Amino acid sequence: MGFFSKVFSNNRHKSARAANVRRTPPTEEKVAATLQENISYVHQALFHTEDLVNRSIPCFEKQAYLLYLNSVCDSDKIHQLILKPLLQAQDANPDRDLTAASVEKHTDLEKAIDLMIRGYAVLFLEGSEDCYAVQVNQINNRAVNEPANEKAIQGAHDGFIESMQVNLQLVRKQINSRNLVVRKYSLGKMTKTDATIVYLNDLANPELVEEIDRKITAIDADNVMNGLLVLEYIENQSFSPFPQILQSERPDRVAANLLEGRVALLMEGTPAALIMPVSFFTFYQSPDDYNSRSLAGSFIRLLRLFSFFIAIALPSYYIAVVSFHYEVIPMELFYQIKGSVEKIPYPPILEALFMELTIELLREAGMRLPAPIGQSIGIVGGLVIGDAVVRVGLVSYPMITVVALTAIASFVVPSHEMSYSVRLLRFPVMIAASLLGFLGICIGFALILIHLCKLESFGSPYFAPASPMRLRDWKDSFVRLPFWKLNERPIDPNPQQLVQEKRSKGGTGDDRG
Amino acid sequence: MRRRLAWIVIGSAILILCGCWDQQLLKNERNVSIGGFDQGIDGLLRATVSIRDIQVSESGANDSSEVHSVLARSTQHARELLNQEVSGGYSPVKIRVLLLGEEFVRNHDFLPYFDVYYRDPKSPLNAKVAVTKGKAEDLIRIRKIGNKTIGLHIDDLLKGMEQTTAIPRINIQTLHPLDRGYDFALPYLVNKGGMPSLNGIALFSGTKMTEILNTDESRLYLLLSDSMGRDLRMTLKSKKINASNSYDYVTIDVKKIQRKLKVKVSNKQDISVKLHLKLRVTVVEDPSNHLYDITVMNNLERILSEQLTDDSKMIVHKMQKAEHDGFGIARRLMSYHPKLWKQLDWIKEYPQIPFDIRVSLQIVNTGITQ
Repeated sequence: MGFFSKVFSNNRHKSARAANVRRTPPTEEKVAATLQENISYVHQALFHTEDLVNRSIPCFEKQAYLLYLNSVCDSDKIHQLILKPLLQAQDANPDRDLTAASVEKHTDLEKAIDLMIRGYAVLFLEGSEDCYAVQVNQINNRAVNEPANEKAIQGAHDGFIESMQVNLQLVRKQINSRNLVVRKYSLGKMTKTDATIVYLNDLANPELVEEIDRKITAIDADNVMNGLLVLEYIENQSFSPFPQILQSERPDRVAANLLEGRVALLMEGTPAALIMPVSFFTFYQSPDDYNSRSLAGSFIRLLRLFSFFIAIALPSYYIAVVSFHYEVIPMELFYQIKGSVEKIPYPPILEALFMELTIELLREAGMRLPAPIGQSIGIVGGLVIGDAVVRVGLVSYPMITVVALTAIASFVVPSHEMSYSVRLLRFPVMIAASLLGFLGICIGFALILIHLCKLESFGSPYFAPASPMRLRDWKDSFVRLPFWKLNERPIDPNPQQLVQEKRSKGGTGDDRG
Repeated sequence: MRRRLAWIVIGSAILILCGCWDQQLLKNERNVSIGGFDQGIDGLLRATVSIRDIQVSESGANDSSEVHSVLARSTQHARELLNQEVSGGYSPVKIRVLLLGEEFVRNHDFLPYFDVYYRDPKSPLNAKVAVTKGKAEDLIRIRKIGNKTIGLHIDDLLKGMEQTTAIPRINIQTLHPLDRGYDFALPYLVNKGGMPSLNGIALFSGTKMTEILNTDESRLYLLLSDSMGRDLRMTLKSKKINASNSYDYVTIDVKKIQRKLKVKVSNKQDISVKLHLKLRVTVVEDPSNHLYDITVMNNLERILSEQLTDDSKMIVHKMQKAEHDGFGIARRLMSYHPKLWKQLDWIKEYPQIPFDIRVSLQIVNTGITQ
C-alpha cells in the first residue's frame, strides 16, 4: 500500500527538501542618493545578468543613467519615448519631458527592479531619491485571427491571442458597459504571471466572484504560467470526466457568457478565456447556433446532443447486441451482420477496443505531424487500415461502420475538452456492455447520470437545466428559440438580474414577444 | 489503506471474473430459420429444422441451408438432440416460420409443443405458423428456391399473402392458449412440384385441424371475420349464368368494410347470430366495360352481393360443420352471457346456431376509364 500512498499523497509535509527552502520576501529598499550605489544595487539584485544595459544620459546637469534589460525592451521605444524627448529638450526635466503613456515614479528600488523585468526602463538621477520607470516593453503580438479549433461559419472571426491586454480589449469591444469589471491577480511565486477575472458587476453573483477570488488567491505554486494550469487549481473535481470550466478562444462566446452572469478568467500568455461556472449544455452551444436562425440553430444543437449519445453508446450498444441480445436485430440485417462477424477470431469487445484505439492512434498521429504528412496519415489510416483489417479478418464490416460513426460523432462537440471526456467515457461503458449486455449499458449510463446530477461547477448545478429541472431554460439549452423568446437568463449561474428583456418584438403585426 | 486494497480487489474481481457467463456470441451461434413438426413413430415428435448460413464477401452474400431432422419427445428435447448434431450453438431465436404437418395437426393437440416458446424470453414470438399438406419435413428439405433459402422463401411468401388478405395474421404469440373464445385458422401450404405454394387456410377446432378452405373462400372468410389486410382483391362472376369466357368475370378491390356481428340470445336461451357485411369496392377489371351505365352498375352490385352472400353462407356452413368458431362467437357469449355459457355444451351447440348472413356491396370507383 506504500506504493499508492506515495503516488497519490501530496507530500507537502513529508518532503525534507520543501522544508529547507526559505524564501525571503524582498523588503523595501529606498533609492539611494548616489547614482553609483543604485546601479550597483540593481546589478547585484539581478545577479549581474548580461542583458542589463546601463546607458548614461548626458542631457542633465547632474549625471543620469538609464537601466533596462535589452531582451524585453524595445529599443525603438527607448529612443522615441525617453532619449529623444530628453535630449531635445532645452532644460531636461523628466517629470515634464517623458512622454510615454506609462511613467511611474518610484522611491522603492525593489519595485523598480520588478518593473525592469517586465520591460520597463528605469531612469536614475544623481542626487534624486526618485527613479522613473517608463514602459518600453517589446510587444510581439500575432494577429487577431480566428481560432483554429473554434471555427464559426458565420459571425465574427476574431480570436484571443497570447497577450492579455489585447484579449481584454477584445472583450471590452463586445461589451461597452461601465459594469464590466476587471480584477487583476499575479499568479505564481516565481513566474508572477498576470491574470484577470472579468465579470459584469450588475450581473455576476457576488458570492460567485468571491468564491473564484478565494480559489485564485489560494494558489500557492511557483509556476502558474498557463491558464490551463489555473483550471486544474480552481475546478471543483479534477477527477471527474467532465470539464467544469469552459475554455474558449472566441471573444463573442466569452461576451455572451459574461452577459449570462458568468465570470471569465484571462491570463497573460494564454490565448483562451476560462469561463465559469458552466453547465453541461454550455459545452454543446456553439457561436454558430446564435449566428444562424433559430430553426437551423436548434436542429444543429439537437444533432450535437444526439451525437453525445452516439459517441458514448453506439459501440457499447453494438457490443451488447452482438454478444448478448442478437435477437433484437431485424431479420435481414441479422444475417448480414452474422455473415461478416462469423470469421472474427475474438470477442466483440476486443474487436471494438482494437479499432477504437487504432482510431485514437491515427488521430494523435495526424495531429502531431505537419499538415501535409498528417493528411497522408489520414489516408493510410482511413483507407488502407480500414480496408485491410477487414480483409485479414481482424475486424468485421459492421464494427468498422460503428467505430467510424462514433469517431465522427465525438468530433461534433464544439468544445475540445468535452470531446475528450466523451471519448474517454465510452471505454468503461463498452466494457460494461461486454460484461452485462444492455444491463451493463444501463448501469453505465445510470452512473454517468448520477455523477452529472451530483456535479457542481462553482456552486451551480452542472446538469442544469435538466436537473434541477427548469423548463424555461430549455429554450436555450436543448434547442435555441428566437432571441425575443429568451426573456430570462439561465438560472444556473444565479445572476443578479434574471430578466434580460421584456417585449422586444415591436411593430403592429406581431408583438407576442 | 487495507480497506482501500479490499475495495480494489473486489472491484477488479467484479470486472475480471464475472464476465461472459451469460454471453451468447452471435458469431458462435447457428440460427434456425425454419422449423417443422411432424408426427413421428410411437407418439414421438419428428422435428426438422433448416439452419441458414450466410457468407458475406466483397462480391456479396451467399446463402446456404443445412437441414437436420430428429425424433424427440418434446420441443426442448428436440433442441437438445439437434444441438448434438449441429456445429456451434443451436439457437432457435430467429425462427421465421414454423411448419406443422397436416397429419400431425389433424390427429394431435400441437399446443403442448409450443409451450417452450412462451417460456423463453428470447423466443421468436413473431414467427409465422403454417400447416403443410403431407410432411413439413419434405418442404424443408427443398433447402433452396432460387437464391433464397427455404425459410426466407416461405416467410416472404406468407408475408405477401397476409398483405393481400389471403391468410390471417397469425404468429406464435397470437396462438397463445390464454387467448380463448375463438378458433384460429392457419395458412395451408402444399408442395407443388418442389415449390411451396399457398393453397388456402386450414381451419382448426380447438387445437385440431378439421377443414380446409381454398384461397377464394379464405378471402371471404377473412372479410367476414373483419380482419382485412392491406388490400383484398376478388375475381367474381359478373353474370348469374355459368361463366364461359373471360368477359363474364369482374375483379374488385375491397376498399372499406363494415361488419356487424350480433349474437342474440332469446328468452328461451336460443342463440342466433346476425352477420351483416357492407363492402365498398373498386372495380379494377371488367372486360365487358359497361359500367358507365348506372343501371348496369346497380345490376352488377346486386349480382355480386347475392353471389357473396351465397358464398358466405356456404363458408359459415362449412365452419359450423368443422366446429370452427372463427368469428369469436364463444367469446361474446362468455362476456355477455356468462350464465348461459356455463350451462352450454359448446361443441354440440355451435353447429346448430342459425346464422343470418347478408353481404351488400357498393361500387365506389371503376378506375380511370370512363
